[in-house]
Amino acid sequence: MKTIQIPIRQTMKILATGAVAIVLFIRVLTSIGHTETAEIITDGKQLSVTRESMLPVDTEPAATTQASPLLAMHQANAVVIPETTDITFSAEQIAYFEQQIRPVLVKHCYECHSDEAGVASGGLRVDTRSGLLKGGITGPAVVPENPAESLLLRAIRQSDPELSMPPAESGEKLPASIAAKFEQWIKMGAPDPRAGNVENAVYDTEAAKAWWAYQPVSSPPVPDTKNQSWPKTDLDRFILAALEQQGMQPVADAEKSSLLRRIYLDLTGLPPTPAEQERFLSSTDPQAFERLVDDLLSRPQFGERWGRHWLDVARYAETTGRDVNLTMPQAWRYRDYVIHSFNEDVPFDRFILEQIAGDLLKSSDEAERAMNLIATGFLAVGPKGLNETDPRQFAVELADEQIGAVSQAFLGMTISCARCHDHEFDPITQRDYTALAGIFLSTETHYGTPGGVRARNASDLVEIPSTAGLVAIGRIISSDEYAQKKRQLDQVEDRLSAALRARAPRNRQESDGNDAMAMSGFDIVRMMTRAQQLKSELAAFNSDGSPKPLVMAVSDKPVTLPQSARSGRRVGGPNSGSRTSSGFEIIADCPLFLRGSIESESDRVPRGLPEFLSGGDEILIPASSSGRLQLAEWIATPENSLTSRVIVNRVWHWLFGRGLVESVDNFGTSGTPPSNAALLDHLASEFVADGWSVKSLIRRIVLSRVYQLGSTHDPASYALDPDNKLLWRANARRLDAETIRDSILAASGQLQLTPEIGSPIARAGDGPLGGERFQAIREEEIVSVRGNFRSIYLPIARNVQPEALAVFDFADPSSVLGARETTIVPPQALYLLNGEFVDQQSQAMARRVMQEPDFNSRFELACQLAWCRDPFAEESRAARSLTGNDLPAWTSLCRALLSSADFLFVD
Amino acid sequence: MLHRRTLLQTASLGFGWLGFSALAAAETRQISTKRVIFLCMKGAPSHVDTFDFKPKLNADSGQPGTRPGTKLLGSRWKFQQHGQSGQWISELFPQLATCADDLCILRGMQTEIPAHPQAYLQLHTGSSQFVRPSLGAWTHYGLGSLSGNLPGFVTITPASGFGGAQNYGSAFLPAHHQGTRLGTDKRPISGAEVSNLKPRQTPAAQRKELDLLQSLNRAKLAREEFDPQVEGLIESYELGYRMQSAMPEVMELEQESPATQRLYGIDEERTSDFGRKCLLARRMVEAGVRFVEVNHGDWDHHANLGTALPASCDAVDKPLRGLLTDLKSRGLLEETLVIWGGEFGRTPHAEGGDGRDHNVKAFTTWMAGGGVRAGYSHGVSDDYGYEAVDGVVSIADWHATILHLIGLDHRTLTYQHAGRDFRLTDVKGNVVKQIAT
Repeated sequence: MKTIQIPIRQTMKILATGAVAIVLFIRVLTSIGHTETAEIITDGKQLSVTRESMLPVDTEPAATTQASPLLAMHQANAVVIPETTDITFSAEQIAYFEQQIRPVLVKHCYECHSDEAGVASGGLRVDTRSGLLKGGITGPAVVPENPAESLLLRAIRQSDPELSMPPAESGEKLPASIAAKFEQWIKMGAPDPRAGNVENAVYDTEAAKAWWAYQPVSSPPVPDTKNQSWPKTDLDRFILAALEQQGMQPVADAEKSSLLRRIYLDLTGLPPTPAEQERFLSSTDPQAFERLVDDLLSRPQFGERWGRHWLDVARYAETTGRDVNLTMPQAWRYRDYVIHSFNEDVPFDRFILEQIAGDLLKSSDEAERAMNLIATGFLAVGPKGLNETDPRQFAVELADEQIGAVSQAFLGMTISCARCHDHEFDPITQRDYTALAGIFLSTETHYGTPGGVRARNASDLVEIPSTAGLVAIGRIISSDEYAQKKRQLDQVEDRLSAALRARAPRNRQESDGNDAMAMSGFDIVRMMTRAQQLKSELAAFNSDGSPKPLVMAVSDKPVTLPQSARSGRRVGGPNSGSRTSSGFEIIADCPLFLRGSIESESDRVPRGLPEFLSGGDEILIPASSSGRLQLAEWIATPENSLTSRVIVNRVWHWLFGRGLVESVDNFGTSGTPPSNAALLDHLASEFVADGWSVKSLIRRIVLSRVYQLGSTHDPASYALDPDNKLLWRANARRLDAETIRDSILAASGQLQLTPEIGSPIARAGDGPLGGERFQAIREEEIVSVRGNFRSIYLPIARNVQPEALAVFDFADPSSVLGARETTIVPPQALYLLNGEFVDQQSQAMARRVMQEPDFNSRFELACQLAWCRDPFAEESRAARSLTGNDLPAWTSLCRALLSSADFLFVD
Repeated sequence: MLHRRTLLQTASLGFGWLGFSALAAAETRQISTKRVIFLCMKGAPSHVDTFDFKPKLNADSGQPGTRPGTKLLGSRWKFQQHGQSGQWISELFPQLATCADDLCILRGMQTEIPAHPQAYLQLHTGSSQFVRPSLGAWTHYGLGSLSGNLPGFVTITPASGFGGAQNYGSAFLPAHHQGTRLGTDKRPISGAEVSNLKPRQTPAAQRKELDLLQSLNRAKLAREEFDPQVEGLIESYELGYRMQSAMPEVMELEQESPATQRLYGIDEERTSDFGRKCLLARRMVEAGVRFVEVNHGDWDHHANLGTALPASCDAVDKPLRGLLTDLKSRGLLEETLVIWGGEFGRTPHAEGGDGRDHNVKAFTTWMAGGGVRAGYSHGVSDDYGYEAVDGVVSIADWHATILHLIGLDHRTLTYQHAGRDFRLTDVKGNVVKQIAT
């Protein structure tokens, strides 16, 4: 691997020869392609990488022939060529541009003046600094330090009818306050980090290394605020200081009833009962809220709420997804482990260790060992393309999925981007990726699934000793049935081997051809599938017919292959079917795959950590170990600049609806910078000081005053901060799918708090979801699943989800997802208006409220159940207008309450 | 011509989402194509028996095939040139052959993985490996919706296997770009419904409930002074309410004249099911659905080619002609891009005497209508139809071309996710400019 290092002076020379040279230069680098890395060292010049500059560059004509078409991640091929490297701006100046100027340009100008839009009206592009300086047909748009000469400013002020922007006919005019900011910015010299133009898209490792997320977590001093009385906690002082800096003030505190509903839904995902509402609202105890928070944190429903958040991150599902979508009937154990861990407030650093390397941790007894193994289900529950024909490719894909999940879940890094080439935007090289790949390729993943037709890559599960006291679910068969299955298997295997012998080419020539056709390829495949099914069924039972306690987990691969496995091509346990050797059967370093293609091996990279992120710390990975434990330990250290920030930010997101870093799964340079960096660091360092306690962190946040703000609109603050990034008020949020369903069940009184053990998929056992010939469980059984227990216990499959969840933007479990989409679309309206579940629950709720004597008390109860508050007079009037006092009328009324904005949003 | 401002207005109502930059590129071209009908032949039809005439294969039938140990199998069906364009089409498509001058046949198609699920996913999403938005979702993302009463992307009887919902999913694109499923591949289309469309109450009772609900919502809006989310919610209820009548009306095939129904073969048992699907597709695009996928299976003819392939062709032949002629007579064909094809092709050599195996190196698809060069053939496979040798079109090229034909630039139709911009064609894809008018 060659590295071309071109010092900045030389770059400047190249630049000096003009645009043609730049293009040629890029072409040269492009043609070098992926096998080599091109780097330009900028002598430490500060340069931040911008979104615009990170658009993938198009190669025209596109490279169509890849060594392995499977592995074509996005190719990018550009290098940083800062056009204005002689100018440096201070961090404050850049921040001013980022906060005050860039958003305006993006919002109002890019549509007609940017490469992204493909338009440069009047020849002007405002998406690079050089574009602004060069200007369009009327001349330079910005003359640094000279507002009077800057046409941009004149256009914004619309003082000249010939030169008005946004265009006069649009009727839009930017407020004077914004124009003043532009003037200020031009006076500063128009600081602007946007280098290059997009054709020469740019990335600079040195600059990326200066990115905030890679700097150590600090303990910033608590800022002083003008208003001393508002802050309740230090956290509030960070928030208020940022608001005051913009001349803003927080709105008033939330109504007591709003706060009550908010804290119940946020901490437990369930609304307060009317009795709980009464108790809290009538309490005069100044400590009532604090006591309530402690009560809610100690309820088992807390883990069900917060465990579900983590399951989004862990891309948890009970089927393999992708091509054949087989069930994983033991996946639910990981789900229960997560719920348990949140309820027990397992320190988050420990939680990390258990999920990545639980199998390698010491345990005091079998029960603890079983739990540690189940924790590693994190690595096993991901999506898998089981139909992959090449076992070697499958192994690489599996490891890649695990690298992606671990790096995004815990580090907020998209390390998978470096699979085929060095990362485009972050200081992660392909060697770094390969060092991690070695760790996961040295790991055996036990995810189960029977082999057979279209599922070529089966694995086994780990059997837990009965002394661990693990529940084994699934049906119980008689010992006769067990013996019968065993006989069946022997028969099928005998017939199969006979048929295969008959089809072998040398035998075929001898026969007249008819025998060979006696059993078609289809028959053989069908029989092979049957054999695999029987094998996997038998592996799930003891010989007395009772189900074995099996778990999904990982383990380290052996250091050397056992003799028996070396002789033949077939490897693996009794359940691994016809899988042939992947070439990754032992603990070993991974070769660097050029362009990510397994066809193009380069040198082996020692297993280890990403070089830059780990600060160059060499970890010692024993030759006899995969290195997962060492990796987990490095992730779970306070010194890791990402881990604590990432989880603290996730928690913030789950409580406020937006993270301090909005891109919760991406802390890299293509992510968003924190809206309040000091607060994030404050929380992260306190979190570590509190022993990585998630409950303490949540407690700290919800007891702050900012958490308890109202969601009131304020036009002045809205004008300054429409997205509420600085939290001048609470965000009104649409409830997530689970909270909607669980709250409906709570309102109807039908909620069953004790779940059935396992899940419908666990009870269905092994096999495809849906499918034509043989299926473990029908899609309809998932889509319209019955049972009134909490949503976290519903069957979670890939590709098919319970309707109640799917319609409200449930997390697609194909990848790590820390922030769900929130849509408001007609299918949701139809689900609430016409759906069977909502109809049934509305009826149950109607029956419940109709036990009250008169309209007022009935309607009051209905509102308490749906909204956790008493109705306003106008609401009662509107409700009265609904004629009739019978069950259909009350069902209709209850459904209207459960479909209303007051129910669907938490203020 | 697409008007960005109109679309922006539509988008602000919540129907659409725009791939701004891709659209901006489209503004420089005159694009009249507004919608897409994708006729997806699940299981992979044999090209050498239908649209790719191979006289040498017939001449050498029984000779050793390209793969060791195989024997070539000539096509038992006669090919003939049709129309003024002289397109070669076999006797398996006698009806469709009368539309030869409308077809643009791509005979140099190639894909990568000779296994159904992967190839099917790649056909639909561009990736056999990762979860990616489907072609219909990208189209809807790029162009938004044309109707305020109907979903923008509908898939009729999609496959439940082969990647299932991923084939019409939105993946990381916002959820409303995913396809609305109508029916399943296990049951005939007649009687299929969109979920939750049927009111549980009388229209009067439902309107009354909705009026109460909306008055509660408006009261909240008034209290909050300003709340776009609540406004959006109010709008979504009105839309949903309208969909209740708009969708069933579109699905009401009986509104069509007997002659039209006959045109699609609805009156005959063997063509009735696919005929209904095609007629439904026409009614949907007419009513403003942006992208309709019609699924038909199973074309996986490993065995019994002699009887099963004619049966499959027969089931779709008349409806295909019906769809093309109907669209044409209504002046819709030039605004509608019609695409026909499966996930790969089949081998020129026999499998088990009377079948053909999977072949990713050559297959045929065709297009018709909006912006497509009619009566034209592009690409050539070798003498046996085993491998495309000229005018090769990869799935990425095919996707790029489809987007091009509807006015979107596959290179700029991007969505930022997990730290980078994603495209339907990833880093690949060349527009096959020869087939565009």
